[in-house]
Amino acid sequence: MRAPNWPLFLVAMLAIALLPLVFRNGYALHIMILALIYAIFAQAWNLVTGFGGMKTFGHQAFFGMGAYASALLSMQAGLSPWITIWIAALATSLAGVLIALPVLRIRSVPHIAIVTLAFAEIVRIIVSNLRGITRGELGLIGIPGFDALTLPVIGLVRFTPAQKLGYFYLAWLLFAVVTAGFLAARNSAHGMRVLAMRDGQDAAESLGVNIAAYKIALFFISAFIVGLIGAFYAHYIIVLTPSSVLGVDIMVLVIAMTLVGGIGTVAGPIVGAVLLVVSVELMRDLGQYRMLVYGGLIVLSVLYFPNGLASLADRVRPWRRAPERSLEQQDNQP
Amino acid sequence: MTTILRVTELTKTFGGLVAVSAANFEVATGEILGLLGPNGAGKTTLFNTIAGLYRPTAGRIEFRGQDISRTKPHRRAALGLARTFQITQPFAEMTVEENVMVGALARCDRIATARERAERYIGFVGLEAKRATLGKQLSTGQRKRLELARALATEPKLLLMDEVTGGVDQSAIPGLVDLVVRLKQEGMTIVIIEHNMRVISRLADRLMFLDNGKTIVTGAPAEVVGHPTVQSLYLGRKHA
Ligand SMILES: Nc1ncnc2c1ncn2[C@@H]1O[C@H](COP(=O)(O)OP(=O)(O)O)[C@@H](O)[C@H]1O
Ligand SMILES: [Mg+2]
Repeated sequence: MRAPNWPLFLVAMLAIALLPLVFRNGYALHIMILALIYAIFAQAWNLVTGFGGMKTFGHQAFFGMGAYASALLSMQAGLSPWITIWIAALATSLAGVLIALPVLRIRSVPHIAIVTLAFAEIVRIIVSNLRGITRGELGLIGIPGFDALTLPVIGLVRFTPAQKLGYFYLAWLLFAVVTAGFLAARNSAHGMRVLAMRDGQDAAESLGVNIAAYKIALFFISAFIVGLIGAFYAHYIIVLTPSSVLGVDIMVLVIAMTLVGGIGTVAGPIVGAVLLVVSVELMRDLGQYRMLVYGGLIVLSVLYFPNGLASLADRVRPWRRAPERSLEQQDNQP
Repeated sequence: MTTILRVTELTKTFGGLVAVSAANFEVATGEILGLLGPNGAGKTTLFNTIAGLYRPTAGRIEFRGQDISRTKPHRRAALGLARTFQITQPFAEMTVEENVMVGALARCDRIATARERAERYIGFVGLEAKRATLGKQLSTGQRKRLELARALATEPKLLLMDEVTGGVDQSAIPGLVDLVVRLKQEGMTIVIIEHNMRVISRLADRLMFLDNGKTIVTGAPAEVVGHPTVQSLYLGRKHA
Protein backbone atom coordinates (compact mmCIF):
# COMPACT_ATOMS: atom_id res chain seq x y z
CA MET A 1 0.00 0.00 0.00
CA ARG A 2 1.33 3.33 -1.04
CA ALA A 3 0.81 6.48 0.98
CA PRO A 4 -0.64 9.33 -1.10
CA ASN A 5 2.10 11.46 -2.56
CA TRP A 6 0.75 14.81 -1.37
CA PRO A 7 3.79 16.87 -2.35
CA LEU A 8 3.56 15.58 -5.92
CA PHE A 9 -0.17 16.29 -5.91
CA LEU A 10 0.35 19.88 -4.77
CA VAL A 11 3.11 20.50 -7.29
CA ALA A 12 0.96 19.04 -10.09
CA MET A 13 -2.03 21.18 -9.10
CA LEU A 14 0.14 24.27 -9.00
CA ALA A 15 1.62 23.44 -12.40
CA ILE A 16 -1.87 23.04 -13.89
CA ALA A 17 -2.95 26.32 -12.32
CA LEU A 18 -0.04 28.05 -14.06
CA LEU A 19 -0.82 26.59 -17.51
CA PRO A 20 -2.97 29.57 -18.61
CA LEU A 21 0.12 31.74 -18.30
CA VAL A 22 1.60 29.77 -21.18
CA PHE A 23 -1.51 28.85 -23.16
CA ARG A 24 -3.69 31.91 -22.93
CA ASN A 25 -5.85 31.77 -26.06
CA GLY A 26 -9.45 30.62 -25.92
CA TYR A 27 -8.85 27.48 -27.96
CA ALA A 28 -6.07 26.24 -25.69
CA LEU A 29 -8.16 27.02 -22.62
CA HIS A 30 -11.06 25.07 -24.12
CA ILE A 31 -8.85 22.01 -24.63
CA MET A 32 -7.56 22.23 -21.07
CA ILE A 33 -11.09 22.59 -19.67
CA LEU A 34 -12.18 19.52 -21.66
CA ALA A 35 -9.17 17.59 -20.37
CA LEU A 36 -10.11 18.48 -16.78
CA ILE A 37 -13.76 17.54 -17.33
CA TYR A 38 -12.78 14.16 -18.75
CA ALA A 39 -10.17 13.62 -16.05
CA ILE A 40 -12.90 14.04 -13.42
CA PHE A 41 -15.38 11.91 -15.36
CA ALA A 42 -12.85 9.11 -15.91
CA GLN A 43 -11.87 9.10 -12.23
CA ALA A 44 -15.51 8.76 -11.23
CA TRP A 45 -16.07 5.86 -13.64
CA ASN A 46 -12.85 4.26 -12.44
CA LEU A 47 -14.23 4.39 -8.90
CA VAL A 48 -17.07 2.02 -9.75
CA THR A 49 -15.25 -0.12 -12.30
CA GLY A 50 -11.53 0.02 -11.54
CA PHE A 51 -11.82 0.10 -7.76
CA GLY A 52 -15.28 -1.38 -7.22
CA GLY A 53 -14.98 -4.08 -9.86
CA MET A 54 -18.44 -3.44 -11.35
CA LYS A 55 -17.94 -3.15 -15.11
CA THR A 56 -20.48 -0.46 -15.88
CA PHE A 57 -21.21 0.91 -19.33
CA GLY A 58 -23.80 3.60 -18.68
CA HIS A 59 -22.10 6.51 -16.99
CA GLN A 60 -22.93 8.83 -19.88
CA ALA A 61 -26.45 8.80 -18.42
CA PHE A 62 -25.15 10.52 -15.27
CA PHE A 63 -23.26 13.11 -17.30
CA GLY A 64 -26.32 13.94 -19.41
CA MET A 65 -28.70 13.91 -16.45
CA GLY A 66 -26.51 16.32 -14.54
CA ALA A 67 -26.20 18.56 -17.60
CA TYR A 68 -29.91 18.61 -18.48
CA ALA A 69 -31.11 18.83 -14.89
CA SER A 70 -28.94 21.82 -14.09
CA ALA A 71 -29.63 23.54 -17.42
CA LEU A 72 -33.39 23.10 -17.15
CA LEU A 73 -33.49 24.11 -13.49
CA SER A 74 -31.57 27.29 -14.15
CA MET A 75 -33.66 28.13 -17.22
CA GLN A 76 -37.13 27.26 -15.96
CA ALA A 77 -36.87 27.90 -12.24
CA GLY A 78 -34.58 30.85 -12.71
CA LEU A 79 -32.12 29.53 -10.17
CA SER A 80 -28.45 30.42 -10.33
CA PRO A 81 -26.22 27.75 -11.91
CA TRP A 82 -24.12 27.99 -8.74
CA ILE A 83 -27.07 26.36 -6.98
CA THR A 84 -28.51 24.18 -9.72
CA ILE A 85 -25.28 22.25 -10.31
CA TRP A 86 -25.52 20.86 -6.76
CA ILE A 87 -29.20 20.02 -7.05
CA ALA A 88 -28.48 18.31 -10.38
CA ALA A 89 -25.55 16.37 -8.89
CA LEU A 90 -27.69 15.19 -5.99
CA ALA A 91 -30.54 14.14 -8.28
CA THR A 92 -28.06 12.27 -10.46
CA SER A 93 -26.56 10.49 -7.47
CA LEU A 94 -30.03 9.26 -6.52
CA ALA A 95 -30.38 7.89 -10.04
CA GLY A 96 -27.01 6.23 -9.42
CA VAL A 97 -28.40 4.46 -6.37
CA LEU A 98 -31.43 3.41 -8.39
CA ILE A 99 -29.25 1.71 -10.99
CA ALA A 100 -27.04 0.22 -8.27
CA LEU A 101 -29.98 -1.75 -6.88
CA PRO A 102 -30.32 -4.18 -9.81
CA VAL A 103 -26.52 -4.32 -10.04
CA LEU A 104 -26.45 -5.67 -6.46
CA ARG A 105 -28.17 -8.78 -7.66
CA ILE A 106 -25.86 -9.34 -10.63
CA ARG A 107 -22.36 -10.73 -10.41
CA SER A 108 -21.82 -11.48 -14.08
CA VAL A 109 -19.66 -8.85 -15.78
CA PRO A 110 -21.44 -8.73 -19.16
CA HIS A 111 -24.81 -8.51 -17.46
CA ILE A 112 -23.83 -5.45 -15.42
CA ALA A 113 -22.49 -3.79 -18.58
CA ILE A 114 -25.71 -4.45 -20.49
CA VAL A 115 -28.04 -3.38 -17.67
CA THR A 116 -26.21 -0.08 -17.19
CA LEU A 117 -25.99 0.54 -20.94
CA ALA A 118 -29.71 -0.13 -21.33
CA PHE A 119 -30.42 2.32 -18.51
CA ALA A 120 -28.34 5.01 -20.23
CA GLU A 121 -30.03 4.40 -23.56
CA ILE A 122 -33.44 4.71 -21.91
CA VAL A 123 -32.37 8.04 -20.42
CA ARG A 124 -31.12 9.23 -23.82
CA ILE A 125 -34.33 8.22 -25.59
CA ILE A 126 -36.50 9.88 -22.95
CA VAL A 127 -34.53 13.13 -23.16
CA SER A 128 -34.72 13.00 -26.99
CA ASN A 129 -38.45 12.51 -26.95
CA LEU A 130 -39.39 15.04 -24.29
CA ARG A 131 -39.21 17.71 -26.97
CA GLY A 132 -41.55 20.04 -25.13
CA ILE A 133 -38.98 20.38 -22.39
CA THR A 134 -35.61 19.51 -23.91
CA ARG A 135 -36.25 20.36 -27.60
CA GLY A 136 -34.80 16.92 -28.38
CA GLU A 137 -32.05 16.83 -30.96
CA LEU A 138 -32.81 20.44 -31.92
CA GLY A 139 -30.82 21.20 -28.83
CA LEU A 140 -31.41 23.05 -25.60
CA ILE A 141 -30.17 26.59 -26.15
CA GLY A 142 -29.98 29.68 -24.00
CA ILE A 143 -28.48 27.90 -21.00
CA PRO A 144 -27.09 30.57 -18.67
CA GLY A 145 -23.42 30.63 -17.80
CA PHE A 146 -22.29 30.95 -14.20
CA ASP A 147 -23.02 34.34 -12.61
CA ALA A 148 -20.03 36.62 -12.36
CA LEU A 149 -18.23 36.51 -9.03
CA THR A 150 -16.30 39.11 -7.14
CA LEU A 151 -13.42 37.45 -5.36
CA PRO A 152 -11.02 39.00 -2.92
CA VAL A 153 -7.67 40.00 -4.47
CA ILE A 154 -8.67 38.73 -7.95
CA GLY A 155 -11.70 40.99 -8.37
CA LEU A 156 -14.54 40.37 -10.83
CA VAL A 157 -14.57 36.95 -12.54
CA ARG A 158 -16.88 36.53 -15.52
CA PHE A 159 -18.04 33.28 -17.04
CA THR A 160 -18.80 33.80 -20.74
CA PRO A 161 -17.81 31.98 -23.93
CA ALA A 162 -15.26 34.73 -24.51
CA GLN A 163 -13.92 34.61 -20.97
CA LYS A 164 -12.93 31.05 -20.27
CA LEU A 165 -10.39 31.65 -17.56
CA GLY A 166 -13.02 31.49 -14.80
CA TYR A 167 -14.30 28.18 -16.18
CA PHE A 168 -10.78 26.85 -16.29
CA TYR A 169 -10.13 27.60 -12.64
CA LEU A 170 -13.52 26.28 -11.60
CA ALA A 171 -12.82 23.00 -13.42
CA TRP A 172 -9.36 23.01 -11.85
CA LEU A 173 -10.87 23.39 -8.39
CA LEU A 174 -13.34 20.54 -8.93
CA PHE A 175 -10.53 18.40 -10.30
CA ALA A 176 -8.32 19.15 -7.29
CA VAL A 177 -11.05 18.29 -4.78
CA VAL A 178 -12.05 15.08 -6.55
CA THR A 179 -8.46 13.92 -7.01
CA ALA A 180 -7.53 14.70 -3.41
CA GLY A 181 -10.59 12.75 -2.32
CA PHE A 182 -9.55 9.71 -4.32
CA LEU A 183 -5.96 9.92 -3.09
CA ALA A 184 -7.13 9.98 0.52
CA ALA A 185 -9.78 7.29 0.07
CA ARG A 186 -7.50 4.87 -1.73
CA ASN A 187 -5.56 4.23 1.46
CA SER A 188 -8.40 4.44 3.96
CA ALA A 189 -10.22 1.57 5.63
CA HIS A 190 -13.09 2.09 3.20
CA GLY A 191 -10.69 2.05 0.26
CA MET A 192 -9.18 -1.25 1.32
CA ARG A 193 -12.55 -2.88 1.81
CA VAL A 194 -13.60 -1.72 -1.66
CA LEU A 195 -10.47 -3.20 -3.25
CA ALA A 196 -11.06 -6.44 -1.36
CA MET A 197 -14.61 -6.53 -2.70
CA ARG A 198 -13.28 -6.07 -6.24
CA ASP A 199 -10.75 -8.89 -5.85
CA GLY A 200 -13.14 -11.37 -4.23
CA GLN A 201 -16.69 -10.66 -3.16
CA ASP A 202 -17.24 -13.89 -1.24
CA ALA A 203 -13.95 -13.57 0.59
CA ALA A 204 -14.54 -9.90 1.38
CA GLU A 205 -18.02 -10.66 2.70
CA SER A 206 -16.65 -13.48 4.85
CA LEU A 207 -14.29 -10.93 6.44
CA GLY A 208 -17.13 -8.59 7.37
CA VAL A 209 -17.26 -6.29 4.34
CA ASN A 210 -20.82 -5.12 3.69
CA ILE A 211 -20.57 -5.34 -0.07
CA ALA A 212 -24.14 -4.19 -0.78
CA ALA A 213 -23.56 -0.97 1.17
CA TYR A 214 -20.24 -0.34 -0.55
CA LYS A 215 -21.66 -0.92 -4.01
CA ILE A 216 -24.48 1.53 -3.38
CA ALA A 217 -22.06 4.08 -1.91
CA LEU A 218 -19.73 3.79 -4.92
CA PHE A 219 -22.58 4.38 -7.34
CA PHE A 220 -23.84 7.29 -5.25
CA ILE A 221 -20.46 9.03 -5.13
CA SER A 222 -19.58 8.27 -8.73
CA ALA A 223 -22.93 9.47 -10.09
CA PHE A 224 -22.69 12.59 -7.93
CA ILE A 225 -19.29 13.51 -9.38
CA VAL A 226 -20.30 12.76 -12.98
CA GLY A 227 -23.59 14.62 -12.53
CA LEU A 228 -21.75 17.60 -11.11
CA ILE A 229 -19.23 17.74 -13.93
CA GLY A 230 -22.06 17.25 -16.45
CA ALA A 231 -23.82 20.23 -14.91
CA PHE A 232 -20.64 22.26 -15.09
CA TYR A 233 -20.33 21.29 -18.75
CA ALA A 234 -23.89 22.48 -19.48
CA HIS A 235 -23.19 25.96 -18.14
CA TYR A 236 -19.88 26.05 -19.93
CA ILE A 237 -20.90 24.83 -23.38
CA ILE A 238 -24.42 26.42 -23.05
CA VAL A 239 -25.99 24.19 -25.74
CA LEU A 240 -27.06 20.61 -25.09
CA THR A 241 -28.28 17.82 -27.34
CA PRO A 242 -29.00 14.26 -26.26
CA SER A 243 -26.28 12.91 -28.53
CA SER A 244 -23.68 15.37 -27.26
CA VAL A 245 -24.06 14.53 -23.58
CA LEU A 246 -25.88 11.17 -23.50
CA GLY A 247 -24.29 9.29 -26.41
CA VAL A 248 -22.57 5.97 -25.82
CA ASP A 249 -19.48 7.38 -27.58
CA ILE A 250 -18.81 9.44 -24.43
CA MET A 251 -18.69 6.25 -22.39
CA VAL A 252 -16.41 4.59 -24.91
CA LEU A 253 -14.06 7.57 -24.77
CA VAL A 254 -13.98 7.57 -20.96
CA ILE A 255 -13.28 3.83 -20.90
CA ALA A 256 -10.48 4.27 -23.46
CA MET A 257 -8.97 7.05 -21.34
CA THR A 258 -9.08 4.94 -18.19
CA LEU A 259 -7.60 1.88 -19.90
CA VAL A 260 -4.85 3.84 -21.63
CA GLY A 261 -3.88 5.57 -18.39
CA GLY A 262 -4.37 2.58 -16.10
CA ILE A 263 -7.61 1.25 -14.64
CA GLY A 264 -7.79 0.81 -10.88
CA THR A 265 -5.20 3.50 -10.16
CA VAL A 266 -5.71 7.09 -9.08
CA ALA A 267 -3.36 8.57 -11.68
CA GLY A 268 -4.47 6.39 -14.61
CA PRO A 269 -7.73 8.08 -15.59
CA ILE A 270 -6.11 11.50 -15.30
CA VAL A 271 -3.15 10.59 -17.50
CA GLY A 272 -5.47 8.91 -20.02
CA ALA A 273 -7.88 11.85 -20.18
CA VAL A 274 -5.12 14.38 -20.78
CA LEU A 275 -3.41 12.18 -23.38
CA LEU A 276 -6.52 11.45 -25.39
CA VAL A 277 -8.00 14.95 -25.27
CA VAL A 278 -4.73 16.56 -26.24
CA SER A 279 -3.66 14.00 -28.85
CA VAL A 280 -6.95 14.19 -30.71
CA GLU A 281 -6.42 17.95 -31.00
CA LEU A 282 -2.78 17.61 -32.06
CA MET A 283 -3.90 15.28 -34.84
CA ARG A 284 -6.32 17.75 -36.38
CA ASP A 285 -4.07 18.08 -39.44
CA LEU A 286 -4.55 14.41 -40.22
CA GLY A 287 -8.14 15.21 -41.25
CA GLN A 288 -10.21 12.14 -41.96
CA TYR A 289 -7.44 9.78 -40.83
CA ARG A 290 -7.43 11.28 -37.38
CA MET A 291 -9.85 8.86 -35.78
CA LEU A 292 -8.07 5.93 -37.44
CA VAL A 293 -4.71 6.90 -35.95
CA TYR A 294 -6.39 7.72 -32.66
CA GLY A 295 -8.07 4.33 -32.46
CA GLY A 296 -4.82 2.62 -33.44
CA LEU A 297 -2.93 4.40 -30.67
CA ILE A 298 -5.51 3.33 -28.10
CA VAL A 299 -5.32 -0.30 -29.24
CA LEU A 300 -1.52 -0.28 -29.21
CA SER A 301 -1.19 1.32 -25.81
CA VAL A 302 -3.71 -1.06 -24.23
CA LEU A 303 -1.95 -4.02 -25.89
CA TYR A 304 1.57 -3.07 -24.90
CA PHE A 305 0.87 -1.32 -21.59
CA PRO A 306 -1.98 -3.35 -20.12
CA ASN A 307 -1.42 -1.74 -16.71
CA GLY A 308 -1.73 1.68 -18.29
CA LEU A 309 0.71 4.40 -19.15
CA ALA A 310 0.60 5.80 -15.61
CA SER A 311 2.33 2.58 -14.48
CA LEU A 312 5.39 3.55 -16.54
CA ALA A 313 6.44 5.93 -13.80
CA ASP A 314 6.75 2.94 -11.50
CA ARG A 315 8.86 1.04 -14.01
CA VAL A 316 11.27 3.90 -14.32
CA ARG A 317 11.58 4.25 -10.56
CA PRO A 318 11.21 0.72 -9.27
CA TRP A 319 11.89 1.66 -5.65
CA ARG A 320 8.62 3.58 -5.62
CA ARG A 321 6.55 0.48 -6.33
CA ALA A 322 4.13 -0.34 -3.58
CA PRO A 323 5.35 -3.82 -2.62
CA GLU A 324 8.88 -2.70 -1.89
CA ARG A 325 8.00 0.12 0.43
CA SER A 326 9.10 -0.34 3.98
CA LEU A 327 6.63 -0.38 6.83
CA GLU A 328 8.07 2.70 8.49
CA GLN A 329 7.23 4.83 5.48
CA GLN A 330 3.69 3.55 5.38
CA ASP A 331 3.04 4.14 9.03
CA ASN A 332 2.86 7.89 8.70
CA GLN A 333 -0.50 7.96 7.02
CA PRO A 334 -3.90 8.32 8.71
CA MET B 1 -18.64 -26.07 28.01
CA THR B 2 -21.13 -23.94 26.17
CA THR B 3 -22.52 -24.57 22.71
CA ILE B 4 -21.32 -21.96 20.23
CA LEU B 5 -22.89 -23.40 17.07
CA ARG B 6 -26.07 -25.39 16.84
CA VAL B 7 -27.20 -26.72 13.47
CA THR B 8 -30.70 -28.16 13.35
CA GLU B 9 -32.21 -30.14 10.46
CA LEU B 10 -30.15 -28.08 8.02
CA THR B 11 -30.87 -28.88 4.39
CA LYS B 12 -29.47 -27.33 1.23
CA THR B 13 -30.60 -28.37 -2.21
CA PHE B 14 -29.48 -27.28 -5.67
CA GLY B 15 -32.41 -27.95 -7.96
CA GLY B 16 -33.05 -31.66 -7.47
CA LEU B 17 -29.70 -32.31 -5.80
CA VAL B 18 -29.75 -32.58 -2.02
CA ALA B 19 -26.22 -31.42 -1.16
CA VAL B 20 -26.84 -31.32 2.60
CA SER B 21 -29.63 -33.39 4.03
CA ALA B 22 -31.06 -32.62 7.49
CA ALA B 23 -27.75 -32.11 9.24
CA ASN B 24 -27.87 -31.95 13.04
CA PHE B 25 -24.85 -31.15 15.16
CA GLU B 26 -23.44 -28.86 17.81
CA VAL B 27 -20.02 -27.38 18.37
CA ALA B 28 -18.87 -26.60 21.90
CA THR B 29 -16.61 -23.68 22.70
CA GLY B 30 -12.97 -24.74 22.52
CA GLU B 31 -13.74 -27.88 20.60
CA ILE B 32 -12.35 -29.06 17.28
CA LEU B 33 -14.85 -30.87 15.10
CA GLY B 34 -13.49 -32.69 12.06
CA LEU B 35 -15.68 -33.05 8.99
CA LEU B 36 -15.01 -36.07 6.80
CA GLY B 37 -16.51 -37.56 3.71
CA PRO B 38 -15.85 -38.35 0.07
CA ASN B 39 -15.76 -35.62 -2.56
CA GLY B 40 -19.22 -34.28 -3.24
CA ALA B 41 -20.46 -35.34 0.20
CA GLY B 42 -21.64 -31.80 0.94
CA LYS B 43 -18.93 -30.62 3.34
CA THR B 44 -18.17 -27.35 1.56
CA THR B 45 -21.86 -26.71 0.98
CA LEU B 46 -22.41 -27.12 4.73
CA PHE B 47 -19.69 -24.53 5.37
CA ASN B 48 -21.09 -22.14 2.77
CA THR B 49 -24.52 -22.40 4.35
CA ILE B 50 -23.20 -21.84 7.88
CA ALA B 51 -21.11 -18.88 6.68
CA GLY B 52 -24.08 -17.40 4.85
CA LEU B 53 -22.95 -17.69 1.26
CA TYR B 54 -25.94 -19.96 0.64
CA ARG B 55 -29.41 -19.63 2.10
CA PRO B 56 -30.55 -22.82 3.78
CA THR B 57 -33.38 -24.63 2.01
CA ALA B 58 -34.62 -25.71 5.43
CA GLY B 59 -33.42 -25.89 9.00
CA ARG B 60 -31.81 -23.57 11.44
CA ILE B 61 -28.37 -22.28 12.34
CA GLU B 62 -27.75 -20.79 15.78
CA PHE B 63 -24.49 -19.07 16.52
CA ARG B 64 -23.74 -17.80 20.03
CA GLY B 65 -27.37 -18.16 20.91
CA GLN B 66 -28.68 -16.21 17.93
CA ASP B 67 -30.60 -17.55 14.97
CA ILE B 68 -28.41 -16.58 12.02
CA SER B 69 -30.13 -18.74 9.39
CA ARG B 70 -30.92 -15.68 7.30
CA THR B 71 -28.23 -13.28 8.43
CA LYS B 72 -25.96 -11.72 5.78
CA PRO B 73 -22.41 -13.16 5.63
CA HIS B 74 -20.76 -9.91 6.74
CA ARG B 75 -23.00 -9.81 9.81
CA ARG B 76 -22.02 -13.37 10.67
CA ALA B 77 -18.38 -12.31 10.41
CA ALA B 78 -19.11 -9.45 12.78
CA LEU B 79 -20.63 -11.94 15.21
CA GLY B 80 -17.38 -13.90 15.19
CA LEU B 81 -17.68 -16.45 12.41
CA ALA B 82 -14.69 -16.80 10.07
CA ARG B 83 -13.84 -19.25 7.36
CA THR B 84 -11.21 -20.25 4.83
CA PHE B 85 -12.02 -21.44 1.33
CA GLN B 86 -11.26 -24.83 -0.19
CA ILE B 87 -10.42 -23.05 -3.43
CA THR B 88 -8.40 -20.21 -1.98
CA GLN B 89 -9.59 -16.68 -2.70
CA PRO B 90 -6.74 -14.29 -1.96
CA PHE B 91 -7.32 -10.65 -2.89
CA ALA B 92 -5.16 -11.00 -5.97
CA GLU B 93 -4.07 -7.41 -6.51
CA MET B 94 -3.47 -6.68 -2.84
CA THR B 95 -0.35 -7.53 -0.88
CA VAL B 96 -0.30 -10.17 1.84
CA GLU B 97 -0.25 -7.38 4.41
CA GLU B 98 -3.26 -5.65 2.83
CA ASN B 99 -5.12 -8.97 2.58
CA VAL B 100 -4.76 -9.54 6.30
CA MET B 101 -5.52 -5.90 7.09
CA VAL B 102 -8.93 -6.33 5.45
CA GLY B 103 -9.61 -9.03 8.03
CA ALA B 104 -8.39 -6.83 10.86
CA LEU B 105 -10.62 -3.99 9.64
CA ALA B 106 -13.60 -6.12 10.66
CA ARG B 107 -12.77 -5.13 14.25
CA CYS B 108 -11.32 -1.63 13.85
CA ASP B 109 -11.51 1.32 11.49
CA ARG B 110 -8.00 2.69 11.87
CA ILE B 111 -5.51 1.70 9.21
CA ALA B 112 -2.56 1.88 11.58
CA THR B 113 -4.27 -0.38 14.13
CA ALA B 114 -5.27 -2.80 11.40
CA ARG B 115 -1.68 -2.94 10.19
CA GLU B 116 -0.35 -3.72 13.67
CA ARG B 117 -2.85 -6.50 14.15
CA ALA B 118 -2.25 -7.87 10.67
CA GLU B 119 1.44 -8.06 11.48
CA ARG B 120 0.68 -10.36 14.40
CA TYR B 121 -1.24 -12.85 12.27
CA ILE B 122 1.21 -12.68 9.37
CA GLY B 123 3.83 -13.66 11.94
CA PHE B 124 1.66 -16.45 13.30
CA VAL B 125 1.27 -18.10 9.89
CA GLY B 126 4.90 -17.43 8.99
CA LEU B 127 4.40 -15.17 5.98
CA GLU B 128 6.63 -12.30 7.20
CA ALA B 129 8.89 -12.63 4.18
CA LYS B 130 5.89 -12.40 1.86
CA ARG B 131 4.35 -9.33 3.49
CA ALA B 132 4.72 -7.22 0.35
CA THR B 133 3.90 -9.95 -2.16
CA LEU B 134 0.67 -9.73 -4.13
CA GLY B 135 -1.98 -12.33 -3.37
CA LYS B 136 -1.86 -13.66 -6.91
CA GLN B 137 1.85 -14.42 -6.64
CA LEU B 138 1.57 -16.88 -3.75
CA SER B 139 1.84 -20.67 -3.92
CA THR B 140 -1.15 -22.77 -2.85
CA GLY B 141 0.38 -23.46 0.57
CA GLN B 142 1.07 -19.76 1.08
CA ARG B 143 -2.49 -18.93 0.04
CA LYS B 144 -3.81 -21.35 2.65
CA ARG B 145 -1.67 -19.58 5.25
CA LEU B 146 -2.83 -16.19 4.02
CA GLU B 147 -6.48 -17.19 4.29
CA LEU B 148 -5.88 -18.44 7.79
CA ALA B 149 -4.18 -15.19 8.83
CA ARG B 150 -6.96 -13.15 7.22
CA ALA B 151 -9.66 -15.14 9.00
CA LEU B 152 -7.84 -14.97 12.35
CA ALA B 153 -7.44 -11.22 11.97
CA THR B 154 -11.22 -10.90 12.27
CA GLU B 155 -10.77 -12.29 15.81
CA PRO B 156 -13.28 -15.09 15.33
CA LYS B 157 -15.09 -17.08 17.99
CA LEU B 158 -15.48 -19.96 15.53
CA LEU B 159 -13.24 -20.83 12.60
CA LEU B 160 -14.36 -22.95 9.67
CA MET B 161 -11.38 -24.40 7.79
CA ASP B 162 -12.02 -26.03 4.43
CA GLU B 163 -9.31 -28.50 3.36
CA VAL B 164 -6.30 -26.81 4.89
CA THR B 165 -3.94 -29.27 3.25
CA GLY B 166 -5.97 -29.87 0.08
CA GLY B 167 -4.04 -29.35 -3.14
CA VAL B 168 -0.94 -28.38 -1.21
CA ASP B 169 2.58 -29.62 -1.89
CA GLN B 170 3.39 -32.70 0.22
CA SER B 171 6.29 -30.88 1.85
CA ALA B 172 4.07 -27.96 2.92
CA ILE B 173 1.54 -30.12 4.78
CA PRO B 174 3.31 -30.57 8.17
CA GLY B 175 3.71 -26.80 8.55
CA LEU B 176 0.01 -26.23 7.93
CA VAL B 177 -1.01 -28.99 10.30
CA ASP B 178 1.27 -27.47 12.91
CA LEU B 179 -0.61 -24.17 12.62
CA VAL B 180 -3.87 -25.92 13.42
CA VAL B 181 -2.22 -27.66 16.37
CA ARG B 182 -1.10 -24.31 17.70
CA LEU B 183 -4.59 -22.85 17.28
CA LYS B 184 -5.95 -25.85 19.17
CA GLN B 185 -3.48 -25.20 21.98
CA GLU B 186 -4.63 -21.61 22.13
CA GLY B 187 -8.19 -22.81 22.59
CA MET B 188 -9.67 -21.77 19.25
CA THR B 189 -12.99 -23.36 18.35
CA ILE B 190 -12.69 -24.95 14.92
CA VAL B 191 -14.68 -26.98 12.43
CA ILE B 192 -12.21 -28.45 10.00
CA ILE B 193 -12.61 -30.36 6.76
CA GLU B 194 -9.63 -32.61 6.17
CA HIS B 195 -9.25 -35.74 4.07
CA ASN B 196 -6.14 -37.13 5.69
CA MET B 197 -7.40 -39.60 8.33
CA ARG B 198 -4.21 -39.57 10.34
CA VAL B 199 -4.08 -35.77 10.42
CA ILE B 200 -7.72 -35.32 11.31
CA SER B 201 -7.76 -38.01 14.00
CA ARG B 202 -4.89 -36.26 15.69
CA LEU B 203 -6.41 -32.79 15.52
CA ALA B 204 -10.09 -33.29 16.15
CA ASP B 205 -11.89 -33.95 19.41
CA ARG B 206 -14.83 -35.37 17.49
CA LEU B 207 -15.45 -36.39 13.91
CA MET B 208 -18.52 -36.20 11.73
CA PHE B 209 -18.75 -38.25 8.57
CA LEU B 210 -20.93 -37.18 5.64
CA ASP B 211 -21.86 -39.05 2.50
CA ASN B 212 -24.26 -37.84 -0.19
CA GLY B 213 -25.35 -35.01 2.07
CA LYS B 214 -26.33 -37.36 4.86
CA THR B 215 -24.65 -37.61 8.23
CA ILE B 216 -23.41 -41.19 8.55
CA VAL B 217 -21.90 -40.99 12.01
CA THR B 218 -20.74 -38.44 14.57
CA GLY B 219 -18.53 -39.28 17.54
CA ALA B 220 -15.05 -39.79 18.94
CA PRO B 221 -12.35 -40.25 16.25
CA ALA B 222 -11.80 -43.96 16.97
CA GLU B 223 -15.53 -44.63 16.84
CA VAL B 224 -16.02 -42.82 13.53
CA VAL B 225 -12.95 -44.31 11.89
CA GLY B 226 -14.07 -47.76 12.96
CA HIS B 227 -17.61 -47.33 11.60
CA PRO B 228 -18.32 -49.92 8.86
CA THR B 229 -19.64 -47.40 6.30
CA VAL B 230 -16.65 -45.15 6.87
CA GLN B 231 -14.33 -48.11 6.57
CA SER B 232 -15.87 -49.28 3.31
CA LEU B 233 -15.95 -45.77 1.82
CA TYR B 234 -12.38 -45.03 2.76
CA LEU B 235 -11.05 -48.40 1.71
CA GLY B 236 -13.17 -48.62 -1.40
CA ARG B 237 -12.43 -45.19 -2.88
CA LYS B 238 -9.42 -42.99 -3.34
CA HIS B 239 -9.89 -39.42 -2.17
CA ALA B 240 -8.28 -36.24 -3.33
N1 LIG C 1 -23.27 -23.81 -6.11
C1 LIG C 1 -23.64 -25.06 -6.42
N2 LIG C 1 -24.57 -25.27 -7.37
C2 LIG C 1 -24.94 -26.52 -7.69
N3 LIG C 1 -24.44 -27.62 -7.14
C3 LIG C 1 -23.51 -27.47 -6.17
C4 LIG C 1 -23.05 -26.19 -5.78
N4 LIG C 1 -22.12 -26.35 -4.80
C5 LIG C 1 -22.00 -27.67 -4.61
N5 LIG C 1 -22.83 -28.36 -5.44
C6 LIG C 1 -23.00 -29.80 -5.47
O1 LIG C 1 -23.30 -30.21 -4.17
C7 LIG C 1 -22.66 -31.45 -3.89
C8 LIG C 1 -21.78 -31.28 -2.67
O2 LIG C 1 -20.64 -30.50 -3.03
P1 LIG C 1 -19.59 -29.99 -1.98
O3 LIG C 1 -20.31 -29.39 -0.84
O4 LIG C 1 -18.61 -29.14 -2.69
O5 LIG C 1 -18.89 -31.35 -1.55
P2 LIG C 1 -17.55 -31.59 -0.73
O6 LIG C 1 -17.05 -30.30 -0.23
O7 LIG C 1 -17.96 -32.53 0.36
O8 LIG C 1 -16.59 -32.25 -1.67
C9 LIG C 1 -21.88 -31.84 -5.13
O9 LIG C 1 -22.66 -32.75 -5.87
C10 LIG C 1 -21.74 -30.54 -5.86
O10 LIG C 1 -21.67 -30.75 -7.24
MG1 LIG D 1 -15.28 -29.37 -0.55
